Amino acid sequence: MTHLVKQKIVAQWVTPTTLHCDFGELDCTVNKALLIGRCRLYLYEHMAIKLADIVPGFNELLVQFIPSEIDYFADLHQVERLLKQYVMDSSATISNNASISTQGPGKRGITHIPVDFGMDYDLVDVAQRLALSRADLIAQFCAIEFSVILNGFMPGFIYLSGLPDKFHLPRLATPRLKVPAGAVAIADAYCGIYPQRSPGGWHILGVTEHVLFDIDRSTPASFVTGDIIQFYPVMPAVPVITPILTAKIAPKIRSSKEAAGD
Amino acid sequence: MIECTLTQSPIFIIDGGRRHAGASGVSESGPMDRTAFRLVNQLLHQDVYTSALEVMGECSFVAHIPMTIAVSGGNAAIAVTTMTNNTLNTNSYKPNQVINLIAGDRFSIGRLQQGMRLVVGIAGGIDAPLFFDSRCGIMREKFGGLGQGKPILSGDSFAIGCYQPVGNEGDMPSHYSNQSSEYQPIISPNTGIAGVTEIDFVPNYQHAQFSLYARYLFTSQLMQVSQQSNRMGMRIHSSLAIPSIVKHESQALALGVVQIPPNGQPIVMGPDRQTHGGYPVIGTVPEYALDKLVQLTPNESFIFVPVNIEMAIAKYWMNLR
Repeated sequence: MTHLVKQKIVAQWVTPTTLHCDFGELDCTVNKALLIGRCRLYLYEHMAIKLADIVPGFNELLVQFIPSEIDYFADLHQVERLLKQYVMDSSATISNNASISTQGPGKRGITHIPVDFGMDYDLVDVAQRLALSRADLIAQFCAIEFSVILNGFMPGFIYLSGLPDKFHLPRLATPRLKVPAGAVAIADAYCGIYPQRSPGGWHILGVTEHVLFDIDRSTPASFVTGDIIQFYPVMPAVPVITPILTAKIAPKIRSSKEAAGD
Repeated sequence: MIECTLTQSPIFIIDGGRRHAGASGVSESGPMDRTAFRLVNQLLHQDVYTSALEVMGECSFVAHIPMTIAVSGGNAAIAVTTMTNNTLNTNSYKPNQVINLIAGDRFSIGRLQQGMRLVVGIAGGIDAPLFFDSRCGIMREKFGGLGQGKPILSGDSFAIGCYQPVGNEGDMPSHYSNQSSEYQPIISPNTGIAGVTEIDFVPNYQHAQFSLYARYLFTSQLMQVSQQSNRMGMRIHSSLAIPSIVKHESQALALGVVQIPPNGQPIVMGPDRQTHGGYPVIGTVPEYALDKLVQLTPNESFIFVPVNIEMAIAKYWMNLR
């Protein structure tokens, strides 16, 4: 609780239009993601008209200005003052022990995401390495309240913090060439969800159908820095059809398709 | 409507870049050569963020409606073929000129004699859907550009937008007269000792954590731009590898940050960079210097020159004038 007050925020111009605000080298805890996410919104509240973008990082905010709106000294001091003021004011409410469920930037509470753990990517392997049964691993994983650190690496790829120490595993020695869209994976201190099919070196525990990024929505990315996520297990999306059922249903499907002119 | 009949390399639609996109993990995008991009729009008397085309090699277009264009950036032969009285006439132009086309004109750009990329500005810009306030498209992101993030390839047609001139209100814009005006850029590429191009960089991010030897190597040897460079990053070839440092956490990347990966060959991040990167960063190349860097051919040598941020800001605004 007190470490937030002691935190030294340093703002610095790194390019003629970009201000780099360093939050100090602290471990990326749940509270830090929440703090950086809230600080970002606080800056937008006070100086949105001057800004082209604010990119949140693990430890920093990258504030990009519209060139014609820049006032170098005044903006540097205002950003530093706003951030320090916000951290001071909120250090009492964002503490390590406080309940975080209602404190996301949008105060949306916890978002529950369904995960199909039945696809057998790395689940068995991870369970073995952690000396847990599959059921225990799923139960313990689904009990964690994750916090969104940021969207990065690709549109909608979310980095989640909150993974307990015992779940920390190094990345795969050889990255997979194809990670499926919606893969829920862990590596080092983080959990992540792949929004689209891509190569990747994380341990895949399951697959979700939750859409993380859709360019046609008014807000394309589903989550912002500081949101809270919890997973829950679901049955596989496509039920396994037994041979007897297949024989009965298959002709019906075919005939209905033909009727539709497909 | 304008049709690209033939192009050697993909043509990118560029504008001022995305706004408020970084928090969604979406790249900023925008022009590689911002000076050239601003210049073509200034020549056409329109908003400096109006969308334009970024060309990297030979290409030819057919204008299906009358339009006004301007080319800037590198140097290449520009030819316009017009059909008048059943005969074909070809006129040649130079970059930084305003060119008027009539319906049916064929317009072609030859091989680049100088520089690596050209910006083709069109009065009214390109009509394409806006995402994050921008018409830029990146293939891996699957949105923007001509659709699904696709650049313009041979055979593609696209519409141009409504021309909204700035300035000269109530007066006929000078570029609508038949005489074409020629424009001289104010800032010429400055070359230092022995004709070697100097690229400014501002030491920041993890600069202080690099060893003295690494910092010395970074500014004391001739470097070349690698052929593997693209809009995501300019890969730099340095004959003596720069010893990197260990950094575990990813960080948000500003335009022009210089990453030093474990192999010691620097990468200067361009407009289509990923929002975050895990390699340590030795400094940033400011916009005006990046414009010079992206125009260097692989056989041209350059040297990184450290400047402080105050100097970079002063030069940035001098270049905008």
